[in-house]
Amino acid sequence: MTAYVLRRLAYMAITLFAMITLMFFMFRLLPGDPTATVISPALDEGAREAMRRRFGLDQPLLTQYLAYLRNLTVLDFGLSFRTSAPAWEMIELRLVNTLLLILPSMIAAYAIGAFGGALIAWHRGGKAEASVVLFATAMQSAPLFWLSMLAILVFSILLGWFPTGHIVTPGRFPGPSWRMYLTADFLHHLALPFLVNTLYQLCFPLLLMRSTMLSTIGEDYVELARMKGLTERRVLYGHAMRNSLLPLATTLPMILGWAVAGSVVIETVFSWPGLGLLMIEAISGSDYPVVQGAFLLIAVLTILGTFVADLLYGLLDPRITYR
Amino acid sequence: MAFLLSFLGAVWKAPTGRFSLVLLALFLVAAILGPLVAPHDPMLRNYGPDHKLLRLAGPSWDHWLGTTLMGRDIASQMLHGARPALLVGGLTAFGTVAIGMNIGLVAGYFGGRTDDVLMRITDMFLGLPFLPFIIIVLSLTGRSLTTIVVAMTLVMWRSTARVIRAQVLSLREMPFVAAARITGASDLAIVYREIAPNVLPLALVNAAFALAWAIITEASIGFLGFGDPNSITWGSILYDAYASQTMYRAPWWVVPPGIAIMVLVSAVYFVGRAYEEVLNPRLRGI
Amino acid sequence: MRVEVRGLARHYALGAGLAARLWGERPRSLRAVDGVSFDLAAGEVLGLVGESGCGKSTTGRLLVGLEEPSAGSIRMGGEDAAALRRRDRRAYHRGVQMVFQDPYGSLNPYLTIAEIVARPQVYQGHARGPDLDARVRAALEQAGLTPAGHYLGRHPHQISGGQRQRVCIARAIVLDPAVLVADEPISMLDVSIKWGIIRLLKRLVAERSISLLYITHDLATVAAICDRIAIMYLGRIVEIGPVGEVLAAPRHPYTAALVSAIPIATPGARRPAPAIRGAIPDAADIPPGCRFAPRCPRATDVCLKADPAMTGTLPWQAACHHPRPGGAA
Repeated sequence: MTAYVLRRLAYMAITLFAMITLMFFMFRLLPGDPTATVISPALDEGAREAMRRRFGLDQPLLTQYLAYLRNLTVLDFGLSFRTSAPAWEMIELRLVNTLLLILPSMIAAYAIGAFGGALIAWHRGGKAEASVVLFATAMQSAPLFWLSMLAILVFSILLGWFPTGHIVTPGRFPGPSWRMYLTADFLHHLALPFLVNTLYQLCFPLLLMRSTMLSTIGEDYVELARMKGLTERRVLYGHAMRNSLLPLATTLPMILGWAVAGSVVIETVFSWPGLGLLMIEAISGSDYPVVQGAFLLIAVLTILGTFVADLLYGLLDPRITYR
Repeated sequence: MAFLLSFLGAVWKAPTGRFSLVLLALFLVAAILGPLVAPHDPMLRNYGPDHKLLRLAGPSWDHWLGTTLMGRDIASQMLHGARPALLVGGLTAFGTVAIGMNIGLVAGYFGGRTDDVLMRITDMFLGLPFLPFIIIVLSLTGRSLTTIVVAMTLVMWRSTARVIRAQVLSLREMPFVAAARITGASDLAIVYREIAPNVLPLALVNAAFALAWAIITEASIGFLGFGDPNSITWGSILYDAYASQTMYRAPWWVVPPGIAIMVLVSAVYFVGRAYEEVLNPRLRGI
Repeated sequence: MRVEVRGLARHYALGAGLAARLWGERPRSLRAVDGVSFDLAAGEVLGLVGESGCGKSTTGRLLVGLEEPSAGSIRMGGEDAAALRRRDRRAYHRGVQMVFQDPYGSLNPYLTIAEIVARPQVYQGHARGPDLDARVRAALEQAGLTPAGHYLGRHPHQISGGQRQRVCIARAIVLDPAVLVADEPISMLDVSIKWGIIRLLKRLVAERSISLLYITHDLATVAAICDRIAIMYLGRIVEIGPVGEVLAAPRHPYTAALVSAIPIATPGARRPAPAIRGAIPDAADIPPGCRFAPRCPRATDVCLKADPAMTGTLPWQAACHHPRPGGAA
């Protein structure tokens, strides 16, 4: 068991290292040299050379790579090209905003999805099941950014219930502050992106729960529970659902990682100042230290999600043996 | 060919499958003929009888879905958007399954070191955040339909590889594989002539899901402003609407592209699921 | 072709975990086949009999080259099998074929019957064409699937279990092999079909003078098809001899126990059943001395210490310190 966890940890470290390396070389070797946008070709040769030296770009690639690795160990992503502030400081603040939006909404999505999926599986074959499946598939098939736009159109513009974007009313908090998260204004801004994301994300657990339940309901132990005379509710929640939760639970960490990666879209529509939006802004501003930092952080969360999912799968399923 | 027919036949049996196939056929026709039958040039700025630019005009007989802020005909733009959606989606799904299936076949069949190395690589790709990675690649390589297909394929083959590998792991223990080996078949022949045909149905289900996901992703890329600047896509229509800041005055601009994506992707999902149910009747319920 | 097997062994290394090895645990090995010797003449049928897990299937797989031996040798017509395979793998496989136990799993569900029987020839490098088709038809009809045209275009799931096993046999004989291994070919079939398959195998052996290794746990069919019989226990042959004599008066107590378990059709008739105790030991943990001793009703001290060698004059030998007197069963 310990060996299994250790090996998984080692795999994760290798993956992370490979990712970091890939990022470094991608930014330097792909066409579209990022330094071209920083160092203006209009500068004379001497000034350009000085610039190159300042960013360490005159060093051999390997030296640059090692310096990059060394800096990463202390979370030093370099200075933002635009604000000259350490990139990590900008990223750190944005991470909190992303997690505050994504985490609660994913938990809600999984809770509702699990119960909903169990319920429609139990009432299988009816009109209700068919329409829920159709609705969930349609939701899943719609692009999240479009659903967000429609939500703004209806609930913010037509009905005026929610603000159209941002994390708090612009101008209320001049600088970043923790007190911001404790206001009703924050919750008011959070509500719509939270609802849209939850509604969109609950389709996957709902459909998955339904299909695992459908195969569980035919199992002998469920039939036995029925024959024992247990009430339908006890059979549903006590037996069939409990055994279908396992495959669902193991997907949560991974989907969570994906949702953080997918937050780019919803943050853009709602102008939500999270990691995803930061990355988009940084790309359009050619602010590569920030792009790299934001990307690596999102990657770490994704990898962590996959790791925990693998671990949970190993822990919860007694049929898996550790070797 | 025979396989494709049996696939279509299997999907046709389910009512939802039949309905979805008809829908898909309609989208295919739109992708092929769309630009030819579009009533207007999608980039043309249309003027009203009073010689004023038709900004955000509502649906009318002349402009079925109204016009954009720049006076462009939305219905024509929609018809032009079907082709890149299906082309990019189709090529990505094909690339995804081609790479994923081969890696899964080789890793699963040979096992041992080969499997270890290939699966570590797959794990690494599994750690790549989907949309952010695509956007970074596009920002570095430039935006075109080709780079979009390549970038999406790069991050999509991984799950197909894992699924196929798992099935190959059990298939390679089947006696028919041993039977082929003792008649002198090489490893290559066993992998591609004995095992591969048996994972084809699973690969096809994966292709359907990859197609669905690629269409949504292509739209998202377009919406984020990283789409091919030279083609009109449903994502880019929505990007224009969003960037114009006026979309809330013109629902006819915002609703149709999303509906088109939603209906197309749903149809693909239902085809995939209908086929999956044929393969695994248990999913149908008891 | 004459097959000579000498001291054949197949051991599997059991991976001890890193943690276990740090505690000083030795890596163990599972001795599936552990020193098997026998001869098989052209046109002869040898029955290899034993409980599941005794190594009889592994012996078959070693013979066809699905596994590489850990020790010992197989000679085919006087030449070393491993060397033959190294020199020309295809040619070796052309000569040695196998019929598998599971007629469902041993046919590729994606292919038609015609393709399944054609594939061995394709893998042997034969060009597709009328010759190949003719050989496919001939093999199917030889295997009792007549008219062959009726089956060619079908898929395995469209025919019955017995027909499937006949397709497997057709696939095995289409290359005209000199040696055939049949690994429990009837154990998954209905009783009503079993005898048809047995008669078919018997006919093919006679017509083509094939050397057949017939692997089974079912003694009742052995008498019907085999010339000689070899009883396997825990990776070794414990008794080998002409089928009628061995079954009538087994020398090894294990053989006697197996024979007493054959159902008898006469009501009231009973064979004296020698009691054998316990279950077959783990092949990773084979007891010292005679490997049957812990379960043997005749075991004495010597059995627990010394591993008995094969004794008796050919063709009938047994490995036992206290063989039962002939004819006393």
